[in-house]
Amino acid sequence: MSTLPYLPGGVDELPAERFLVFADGNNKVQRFDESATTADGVAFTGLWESVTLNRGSKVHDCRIQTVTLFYSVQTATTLTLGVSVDGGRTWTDKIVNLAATVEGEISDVTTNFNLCGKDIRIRIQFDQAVPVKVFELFPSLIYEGGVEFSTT
Amino acid sequence: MNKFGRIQPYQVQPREPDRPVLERLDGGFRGDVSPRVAPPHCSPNLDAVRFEQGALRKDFGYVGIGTAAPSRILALAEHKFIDGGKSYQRLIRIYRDPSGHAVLSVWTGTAWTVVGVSTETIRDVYLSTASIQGKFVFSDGEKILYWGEQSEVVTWEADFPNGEVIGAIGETTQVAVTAAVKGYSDYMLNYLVDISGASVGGVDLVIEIYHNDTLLTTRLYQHPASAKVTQTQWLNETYIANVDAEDGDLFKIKVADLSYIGISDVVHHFFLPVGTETAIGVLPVPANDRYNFSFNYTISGPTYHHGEIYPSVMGVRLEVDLLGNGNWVTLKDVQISGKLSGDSSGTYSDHFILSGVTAVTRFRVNEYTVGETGAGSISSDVDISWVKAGSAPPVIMVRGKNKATTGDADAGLVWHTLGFAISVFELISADAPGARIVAPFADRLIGLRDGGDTQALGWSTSGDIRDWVGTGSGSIVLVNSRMDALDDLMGFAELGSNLGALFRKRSIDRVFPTGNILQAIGVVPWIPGVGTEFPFSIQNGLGGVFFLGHDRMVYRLSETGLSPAGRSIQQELIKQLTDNLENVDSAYDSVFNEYILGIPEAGSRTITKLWILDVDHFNLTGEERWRSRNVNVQRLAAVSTL
Repeated sequence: MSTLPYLPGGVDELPAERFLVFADGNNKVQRFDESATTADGVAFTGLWESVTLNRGSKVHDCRIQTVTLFYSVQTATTLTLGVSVDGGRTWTDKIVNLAATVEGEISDVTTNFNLCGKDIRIRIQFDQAVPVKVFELFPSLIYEGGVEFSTT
Repeated sequence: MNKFGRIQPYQVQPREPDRPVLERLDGGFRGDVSPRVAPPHCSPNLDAVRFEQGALRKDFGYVGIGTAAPSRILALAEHKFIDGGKSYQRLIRIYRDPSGHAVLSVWTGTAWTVVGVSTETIRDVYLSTASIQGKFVFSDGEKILYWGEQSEVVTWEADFPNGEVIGAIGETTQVAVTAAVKGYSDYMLNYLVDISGASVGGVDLVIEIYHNDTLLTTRLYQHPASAKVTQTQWLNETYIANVDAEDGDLFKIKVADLSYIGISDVVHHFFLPVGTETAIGVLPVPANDRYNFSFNYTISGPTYHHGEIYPSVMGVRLEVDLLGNGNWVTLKDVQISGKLSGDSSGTYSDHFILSGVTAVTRFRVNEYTVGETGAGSISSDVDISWVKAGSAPPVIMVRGKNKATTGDADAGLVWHTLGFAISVFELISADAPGARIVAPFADRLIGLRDGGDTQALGWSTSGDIRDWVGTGSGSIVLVNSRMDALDDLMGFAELGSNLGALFRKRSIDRVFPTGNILQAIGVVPWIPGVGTEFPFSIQNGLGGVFFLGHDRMVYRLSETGLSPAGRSIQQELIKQLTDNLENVDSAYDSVFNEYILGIPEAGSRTITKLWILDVDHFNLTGEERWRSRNVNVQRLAAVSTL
């Protein structure tokens, strides 16, 4: 049974005369299936990367302490949450456990990173065959201190 | 003096930066600005995600359909058609066999079935396709081929009862549907009608035709007024019943009404061969016992005796055996003389009175020679006739046909059913252009680029895509574009029933039916400066036609003009889309209203990335929301059924 909100319970396909198909690189015809969580039986990963989060300052380093993620999922699963402090050149990934939520409920989970750099970005990798919806991200950001000079 | 004496260093306390708002994550891809300045709900890098309720989620998976083709799939498209009152959809894939012939296979729901292999070879390029007038058409730049599927028509027959004739009001004759298969709804009844008689006002016969007990039609047959008995026949009457009939259903013919005004005197004839003894049979006898009789004769020339000339004389004796018991009585004994020179001929007429004639009454007539004169003979049957005054009503005969036993040319009931599908796969016409692109427009097939001429536009006649020379067909070479010395024709899209968009490399033209059959299609310049190099990027969608412009900008084209819809990805496409431009493909998802653009990145021969535009969001807000998916694709399509 599909866990996707597009489809009512027990309905495996959209009740509409429309299917998206394509011929893949191996000359095999495939169709996108709203209830499928693999790509022709093979696991695949969904990736989303944020823009630079700390663009307010070009001077100070910025520390990202935690990332809180607001989500809903019908089956407990995991995803991989990554933080880069160097504009996406290197990443620190952490696996985040997501507890199951009931329909309509949004839960949250906070992951500690405590990393410092000039260009803070977050990425989410949906690497499990369970549909997860991420509604919001809350990064805890703090500028690192520095020396400024004043004429007063 | 310390010049920095007035400057006081101090420790700045840590403070929070401007917090990005990440309350939604559905901004989509932004590649036109730096990630440092892009809105926080957007993304500079994403793959296989989609947006739902402002949230982010993993994209749908996909499943294989059947087994792989043995070579590159050059076309993947849906063909819809109507046959025998039913509509059909076929998902079609086309690839080349090792010798270069096109192999067309159809998805049956469980497997790919090859339904045709072309006689002609095709080029190894993505094929342009169109489904029009019940035919699936495709072109490769050198020729246009079509595939059609028609169900075999099976003919069924059943007969009315052998020899069953109806003639009285209320009588019926019927035939049954015998095969347990539904027909086309065209059940053809074959029957004949015969009216003979004489009437002052003519004869009107009304018959009714029924399907079971349902009256289908009423038919009137009129026999003209006549003083003599005449006959009118309708020997090949047909009626086609457009009904859904089941096995065992009956089709009936019924004599519903018969009317005539007055009955004329009727002349009856009885023909008697010479030398025979023939019974008169059941013919009605005259009330006044008066009979006429006549015959034709020939008599030989005169004879000579002792120098004198004598005409030849023939004798004719008419006898009757009134009771049929061998008691012959002479009715007439006549002698007819010939001429005094040469042979003679003529008709002899006379009458006699005879009462007591019955069905067994026999007549006979004999010739004899008189004396020594020459011979004579009767050259026709003897016609014995009499008049029966006003006593014979018209005779009606209605009979359903019977082919098997009676020997009629047609069966009484003929109908058809659909049998196995018959596949036709051939050149659409020897006269058609060697089009690279084909498209339907105004009930015609449009062909772009005839062989090597990239500016040639051709079209078939209206209603017949196989006729490229008949009245209404035509072609034009679109030279003198102000945008380019050779502004190649690249693609076509219907914007409305009377408006098409002709995409060129650097401009767009309007195409319209002129109403003048001598030049049925007209073309005028429309939008200069924007064209396309990607013929398969053109898709009809909500709000207009979406396509990838030659400048790598995705546009929406409507009757009001162009709207850019690909600013977020234009820079990315300029960077990645460098080669194999003809292999860009697209589809339109009519449920989620998404335009899907597939591009081969960095010189790849196949598509490596799908770019997907939320068309609903774009139409409502003007904001672009693009997402992408890295997947290896050859052709894309949206279909109705699987």
